[in-house]
Amino acid sequence: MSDDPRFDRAAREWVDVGPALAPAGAVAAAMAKIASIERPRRRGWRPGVRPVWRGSLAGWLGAAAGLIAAVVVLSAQFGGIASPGGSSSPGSLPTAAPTPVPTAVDTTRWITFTSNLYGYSFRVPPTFQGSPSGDFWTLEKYRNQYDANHGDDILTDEGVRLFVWSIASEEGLDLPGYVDALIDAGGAVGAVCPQPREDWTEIAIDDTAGLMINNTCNSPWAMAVTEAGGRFYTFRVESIVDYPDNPVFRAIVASVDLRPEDAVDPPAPTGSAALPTSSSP
Amino acid sequence: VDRRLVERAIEGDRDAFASLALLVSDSLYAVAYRILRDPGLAEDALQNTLVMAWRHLDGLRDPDRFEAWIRRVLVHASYAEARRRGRETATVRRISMTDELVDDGAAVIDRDEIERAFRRLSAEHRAIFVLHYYLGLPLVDIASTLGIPDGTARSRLHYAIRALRALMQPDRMATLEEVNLA
Repeated sequence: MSDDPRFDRAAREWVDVGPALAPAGAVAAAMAKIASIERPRRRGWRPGVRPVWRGSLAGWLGAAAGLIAAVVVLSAQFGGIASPGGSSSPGSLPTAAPTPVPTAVDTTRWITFTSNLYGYSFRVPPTFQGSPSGDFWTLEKYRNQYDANHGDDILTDEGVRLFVWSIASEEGLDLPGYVDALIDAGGAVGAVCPQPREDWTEIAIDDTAGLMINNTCNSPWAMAVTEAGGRFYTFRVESIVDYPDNPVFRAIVASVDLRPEDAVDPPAPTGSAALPTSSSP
Repeated sequence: VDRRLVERAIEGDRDAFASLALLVSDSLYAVAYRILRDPGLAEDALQNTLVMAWRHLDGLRDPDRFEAWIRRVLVHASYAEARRRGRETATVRRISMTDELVDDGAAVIDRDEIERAFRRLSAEHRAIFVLHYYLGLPLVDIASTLGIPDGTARSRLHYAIRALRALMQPDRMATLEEVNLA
């Protein structure tokens, strides 16, 4: 992979050195914790979304209804993430439920994450820990370095991770074009699992028309995007759970307060390969 | 892994899950250790992985993908462990796409040199390095494990290797750029 066989060989030899067996008792200790954790039965319901996006006015207005739907969820779904206490007791759930009763995500204990660099704030469950970015992002930079962690990185022990950032709009590029640009850069959608526009969903983010792109194929992520004040805003979630269309993420997106007027523009480049070296939010 | 065992665990059978945990724990621990380079952190990551897996196992759609799925949980747990313990470096080292590494044909690649450089990589770069060099996973499986697009996996591995090699020869990497995220 490195185009240097010596390095590859040395890397393999080095990484092979180390323990191959888990410590005695590690599994037993985990099982002891698990003994007190009740888990609801398999989830069989996903919150309704209206597929097929095109930019009609009626469609944008319809997004408001979608937003309301976004915060309506199964009580069981992501209960361990939305509420620090863990999942609901199984007694409160239907045992064989073709039509579960939706309930709202409880956001009363959520905390606010604010970025003065990117110009937004939003609320997340208290288990999420933010690592603010100190780095400017531009679409050009994203195209060239999509590997790097972009924007604010918000992680939870429950295996859910948010990347959030805003980028100054480019002339002639609309919101779907921005998503296409992310896709073209390879940082949003894999070639194995393309997410065609027909599968995008209209949403509203802070009363602004936006899009939700869910990967339901091979890797669990979703992305919500919008444009406001000359900036593209991106909210991307990665999750250990097998599908990303999750109500907690939608509730996070529903809490967004866009403040493009507060966002900081990157300094003008000084050379062909110049990138901003550092900045503070 | 026996599909029926996974299905029973999905349905809430703790004994089945315990059997699964025993089957995969050695492999998971070995991967966590190689990412975190610390036995205590790796054990915590393993235990958290098993707890998270139990909580969210009913989100697994295809029981045949259990091993890949729980490996993904482990990687996320390792990220969280690295961050919680403050072991993850606060400085991301970024290399311009245009920079070229110096190829010193006479250089001897020393394990200690790799170890020191590896510890300075981000957790994401360490994880993809381990999945590639230790487990030997193809890129498409790495992408699935990390929950990232396959194009990102390819690029991330490329950057991880470049970053590691750059950190192994810092004096010759005048173009290395540091971006303080703290």
